[in-house]
Amino acid sequence: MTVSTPTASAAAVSPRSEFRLALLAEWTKFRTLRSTYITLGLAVLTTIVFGALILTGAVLVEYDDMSPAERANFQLDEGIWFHGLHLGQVLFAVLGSMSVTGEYVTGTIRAALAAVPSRRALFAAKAVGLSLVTAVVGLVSAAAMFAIAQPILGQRDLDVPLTDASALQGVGLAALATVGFGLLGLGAGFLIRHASGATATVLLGFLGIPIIAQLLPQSWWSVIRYFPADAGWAMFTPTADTLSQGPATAVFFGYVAVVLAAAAVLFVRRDAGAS
Amino acid sequence: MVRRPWRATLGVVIEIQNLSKRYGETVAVDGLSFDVKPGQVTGFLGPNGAGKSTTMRVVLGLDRPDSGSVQVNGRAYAEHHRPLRQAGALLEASSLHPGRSARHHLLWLAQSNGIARRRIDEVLDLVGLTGAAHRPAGTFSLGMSQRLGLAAALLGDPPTVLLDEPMNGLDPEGIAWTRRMLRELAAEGRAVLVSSHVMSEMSQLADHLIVVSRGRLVDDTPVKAFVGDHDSLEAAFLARTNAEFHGSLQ
Repeated sequence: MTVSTPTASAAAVSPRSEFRLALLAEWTKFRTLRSTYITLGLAVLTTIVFGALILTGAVLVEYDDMSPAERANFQLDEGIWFHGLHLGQVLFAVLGSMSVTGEYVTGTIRAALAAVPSRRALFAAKAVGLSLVTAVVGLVSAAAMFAIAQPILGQRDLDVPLTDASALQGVGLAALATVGFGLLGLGAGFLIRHASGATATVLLGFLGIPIIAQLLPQSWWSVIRYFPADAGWAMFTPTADTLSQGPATAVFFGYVAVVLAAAAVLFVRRDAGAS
Repeated sequence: MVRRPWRATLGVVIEIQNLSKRYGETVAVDGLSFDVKPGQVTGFLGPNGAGKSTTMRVVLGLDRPDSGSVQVNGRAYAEHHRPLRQAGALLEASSLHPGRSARHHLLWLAQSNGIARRRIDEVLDLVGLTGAAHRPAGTFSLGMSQRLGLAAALLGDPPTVLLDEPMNGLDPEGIAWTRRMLRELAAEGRAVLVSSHVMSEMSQLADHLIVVSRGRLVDDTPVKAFVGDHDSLEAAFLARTNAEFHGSLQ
């Protein structure tokens, strides 16, 4: 039995260790659910399959149709190998929102708040825990995308070594954007709390709006490029229509900051609810 | 199992003073005050909607009171840094993820409060779930879920235990088991607060009664004194709440 007297155990703990314990508990919650692995696996698979399809289906076919003069002037779009990540990141956002709404749906949030009554500590533990996971998985996915792309592009001598400065920076920014997508999903989860509502919001924001935007006239892109998903994707796959990498990073993480701040304020203020 | 004698140092364990809580237009708790003392089972009795669950959620800091204060072992529950060692709760609505195993549920709870892993085995054994520890909680019967909830409540070996309608939906065997367990927890010196809307459960379980109706305190009394000359706890309750109702009309 490890029980000490109540007053002694209460006095000896600092807020920092409270956060550390909460983070450890969040990690355990995350790794002990099968749905975590299903969503992560789907996100990684989607990323790799779509990335490879875009490279072989779009880039190589387009290249083969070009005249020799066009080929001589041909330049790969920045970060072309990371396009598969776009869809994967939408699933990371779903993962982020599920990590919150899953707790409201099942009532686990009540147990979590009874165990960690400091809502700031619990919120921080959830956000940091998710960020660590999405950073690692985002980094591995981006590096894998790059590695898979080179033999495909090598068939036309279009490959780029990893030592290329923009390649490494791209991998880093792609991973960073993945963290941002996860956090936006997490924020939506805290704000909306209902699983279907939060998932629908994430899918509408990151999938629906970009699809509709594709159909709008070119001139509208001066506005569309500031939308969350488009700004996030421009961090590692910029084109002539999008923001460049620096402003894209600033705009995207501006959204992340606003959404997380709103989510944190509401989480601290709201009742945990009856059921 | 070795228990610490908290009862020597603690008089009042939960102290609720003038608590009020409304949800929109609905007044759930209306100026409620009572104490929960160690070493006995305190029945928290009242019809559905009387404010029992709300009171328990406010005690645990899940919902914020509009006015009044609640102290658990001398301070607000949320101000305790390892709160699971102060009070354990089994809430009425589920707080388990159906996809997580019983052991993993207890593991994250233990980690969040710096509780040693071997305590997980102890509480699983205590509630008789050792054999089912690796099964997802979603596959549990209602009785097993309640026992897992009780194991979670006892994880921090707390001097105070709160249970919201723990008998609901249990078969007679489950009810008898729960009653024995709660009596034992009180005998060990813990403060046990058990809510119920079923009067007959309380007569065999509680030492003391907090009776509420429409968010207000109706009575705060030993069970024997409450029943008095009436045939049953139920009759006594109806007589008291009807008197209260007519009183409020006059």
